[in-house]
Amino acid sequence: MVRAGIKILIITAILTGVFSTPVLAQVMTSTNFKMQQDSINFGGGYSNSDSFQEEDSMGEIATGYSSSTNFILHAGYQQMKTAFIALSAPSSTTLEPSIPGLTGGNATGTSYAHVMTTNEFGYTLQINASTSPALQHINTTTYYFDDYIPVGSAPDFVWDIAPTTSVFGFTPEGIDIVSKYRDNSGVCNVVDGNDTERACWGPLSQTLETIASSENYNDPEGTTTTIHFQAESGNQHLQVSGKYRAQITITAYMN
Amino acid sequence: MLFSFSKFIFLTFLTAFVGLSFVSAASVSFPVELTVTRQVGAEVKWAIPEGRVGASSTNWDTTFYLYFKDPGTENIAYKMDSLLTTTVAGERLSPIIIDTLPEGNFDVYIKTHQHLSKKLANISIPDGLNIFNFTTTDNADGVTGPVRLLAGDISGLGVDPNTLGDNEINSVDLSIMLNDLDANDLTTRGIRANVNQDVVVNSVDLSLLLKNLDMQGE
Repeated sequence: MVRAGIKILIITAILTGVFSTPVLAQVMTSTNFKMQQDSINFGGGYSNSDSFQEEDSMGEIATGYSSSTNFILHAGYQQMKTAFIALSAPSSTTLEPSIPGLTGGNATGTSYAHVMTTNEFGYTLQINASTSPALQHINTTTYYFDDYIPVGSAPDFVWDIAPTTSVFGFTPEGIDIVSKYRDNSGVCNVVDGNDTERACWGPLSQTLETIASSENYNDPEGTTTTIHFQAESGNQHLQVSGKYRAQITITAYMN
Repeated sequence: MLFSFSKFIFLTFLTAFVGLSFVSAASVSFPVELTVTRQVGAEVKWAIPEGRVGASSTNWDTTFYLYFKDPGTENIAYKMDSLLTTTVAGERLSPIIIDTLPEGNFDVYIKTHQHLSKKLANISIPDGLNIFNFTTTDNADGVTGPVRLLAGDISGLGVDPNTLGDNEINSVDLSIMLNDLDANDLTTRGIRANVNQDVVVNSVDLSLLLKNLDMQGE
């Protein structure tokens, strides 16, 4: 009995190492068909009535939706089958025009994030920068643009900097942007507020910043969130010449 | 034996399908880039003409332009295209914005409407504000040195950098001076031959020119 138990344990341990490793790229295929997802269990399939349609699979445990601070988990065959998310964005953005280092000036650039999801609970879109401050000289961290500092806790409705500084900031636009970037034509962080163009400016940081969210799926068209970037050097500030870069990451996840 | 095999099958599938779960997210990373162009701001503190009448810092104004040469090739890297003036204290503290001067070291020159050019040799010119002190030979900061602008180059129309003298004090300048000799200059700045900027073109101005006859700018 003990020996049998040990055998079970060893075999289970070996097979756990083999079968529990996700092999996401491999599916069953034939000459004419490819099976993207499958489930080997003891029951399930498609059934319907006058009012409902159902597809189920029986034999899995610990399935469904769960989340933590850093992760969201959709466990089980049915979770895989119904929801996915896709994100597209440009490969780079250039702020224009060039800014003279002594007399100063303003440069802007626009990017976008297009999200498409079949998840019935929608999605959340976040942005962050890889460095602090975000926009730094490519050859040295000594020279940089400060991260934009709003006057208050909410983003600034109007972009404004002191002439003795240089700063870099952003604002998102689109139907799914969060209240923080919505306005009443004068103040930002307004629930159900407007989405005034090129208003509500805030800083980029290494901390993930939620800029858009929806509680619904949006396939097949998806939703585009526009992101305006702006940099300015004041006319009483010396900005050392050269190329400056901010590495931006946009993340979309299913709610 | 059959009982232990069933347990094995059950545990296998239990482990496998719990393991086949994943996090649903997507991310894209891209650079946002900006170019900041080099600008140099040039100021003069000080350029002091020789022989001016009156107390210090009361009569040192000149009409001038700056130009920059590569120390090795002596090619002109930048030359102002219009004239400016220093104050009676011999200063120009409003920055002259230069957009096209490359990075590096340069010989910096000042040329005025009455004087030979004066050079500051092999000066490092970084981005931003640069203050040039033509009273020293090493561009020492904040110190009024003994170097003075040499008077007598008064040829040319004097309306732009290309006509502000020929950077030599020769017979051409002498003839102009002699032509204006004894002329009153009540504004003290109306006649270029009035190099000491008093109220008349006289032997004092002539002696300053003759002192520097046959000299050339640096």
